[in-house]
Amino acid sequence: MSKSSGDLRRTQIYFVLMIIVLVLLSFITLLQVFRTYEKKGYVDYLSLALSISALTLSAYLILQMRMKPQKTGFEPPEVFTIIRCPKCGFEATRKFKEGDYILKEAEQCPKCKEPTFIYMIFRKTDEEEKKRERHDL
Amino acid sequence: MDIQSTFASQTPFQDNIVAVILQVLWLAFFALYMFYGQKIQVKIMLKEIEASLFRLKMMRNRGREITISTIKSISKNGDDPTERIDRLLEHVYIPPVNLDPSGIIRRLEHLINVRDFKFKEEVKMMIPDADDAQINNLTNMIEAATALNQIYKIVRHYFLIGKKTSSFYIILQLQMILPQIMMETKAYARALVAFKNGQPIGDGIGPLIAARLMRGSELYEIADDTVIGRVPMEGRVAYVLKAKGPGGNVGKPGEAIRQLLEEKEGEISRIIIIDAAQKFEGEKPGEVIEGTGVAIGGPGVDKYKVEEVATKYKIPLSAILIKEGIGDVVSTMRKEIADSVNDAIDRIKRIIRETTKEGDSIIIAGIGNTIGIAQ
Repeated sequence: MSKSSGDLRRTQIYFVLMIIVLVLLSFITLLQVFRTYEKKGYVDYLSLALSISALTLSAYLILQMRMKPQKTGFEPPEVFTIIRCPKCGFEATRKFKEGDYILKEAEQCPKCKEPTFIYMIFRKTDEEEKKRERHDL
Repeated sequence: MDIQSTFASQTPFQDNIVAVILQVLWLAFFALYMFYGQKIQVKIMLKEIEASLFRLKMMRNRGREITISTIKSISKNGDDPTERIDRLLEHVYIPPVNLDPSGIIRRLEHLINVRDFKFKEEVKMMIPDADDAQINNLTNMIEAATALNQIYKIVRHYFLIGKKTSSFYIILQLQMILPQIMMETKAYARALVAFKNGQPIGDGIGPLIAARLMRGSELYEIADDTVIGRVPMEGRVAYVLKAKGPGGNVGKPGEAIRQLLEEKEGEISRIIIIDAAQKFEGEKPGEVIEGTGVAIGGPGVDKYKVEEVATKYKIPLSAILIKEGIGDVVSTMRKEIADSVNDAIDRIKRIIRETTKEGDSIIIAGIGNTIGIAQ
């Protein structure tokens, strides 16, 4: 794990260095284009196009680097457990604990001191999922 | 004078040469596209598939790692389960021959039982002191890891065949179904996490409703890993059954219903089956609908048994279906699905009131994997 995260950091440093060099070169070329235009009255379209492309590529690389890694499905979801008291109807929601299962006897009811039971276990639907399902049709 | 200023001072010549270069480039591009267009497209598609394949490989490896580490953490004997897990990941199921369909269900059932038994035995060998729930959960987990491995290998096979033959149509078909495959793979990855933690999954909505109905009644095991309870409901007697939880398990609902009907000599007014159903895109997850027939998925053994015995005694069949997306069925139960329990129970009660008389007996079966749901 630590080896792969180290590799990742090294790759990121290479990318940042590459972007810095690319941006520097592009600005130097752009400067050259303006100086040529000022001196000769001629626009060097090729250099202009190349430097703009390099800047666009740099912006794209930065955006890609800032993007969140795609989810693979192994990320632990946010899971909650609802406990309920069968006597007084008291209900409380807490984070899922290992060993929880529905209808398992749970902690004492804080109101009537009767044993509660696990009424429900569910995961919170993430916003991304909800957004994908939203539609007007 | 530098080159740049030389060109800058010869503008007409440069305009001309740029125009010629552009024309030559266009012609070259046209010729290239005409003769090599499909090959370029194949190369692009192969690159896309390769990226997905890399992702599949990563997911397969992660699934394997989680399975091994979970077994290692539970096992007290300190043996390394890696070799056994790797062997199980490569395990294949060979379906029965269908050239002569007569008796295929019996053969299919036998093979499924043998396979289930083998997986459970392997888990018992790795963790001899594990309880039934742990064995069932770990068996489910290994099955999810096996599915990830199989998917990766099949996609890799077609990718390499496509690459070797440069066949546009093999690659095109693979690329077309790849989004669906990726969705299914992600679902298996989520299932693996749910099985590891023993959390209820979307498919468990049937057993969850049955558990809610049978709570507090006296239960007994009617068939392998299947429990039943006699519950008074709306002035009728309901025989409510589900797989035995809280370990990951689907039980034998077909056999349980067959046995109960034979015991009662068909004196049952209605069979109501509750199960999760695949939703269409655009439908809400957790939506409850009703139907007619045997709502039991899987290889078909249980469905066949219920259809057979219900036809023999002419018993009407109702289905209560809870709509779920492909990713929800095997991942930890989402809130919208869990919230559908009360709606489903109201519908069951309404069906009972409308279609049966007071004093009648009915069967209510909650179908699905009961992981994380007791009774």
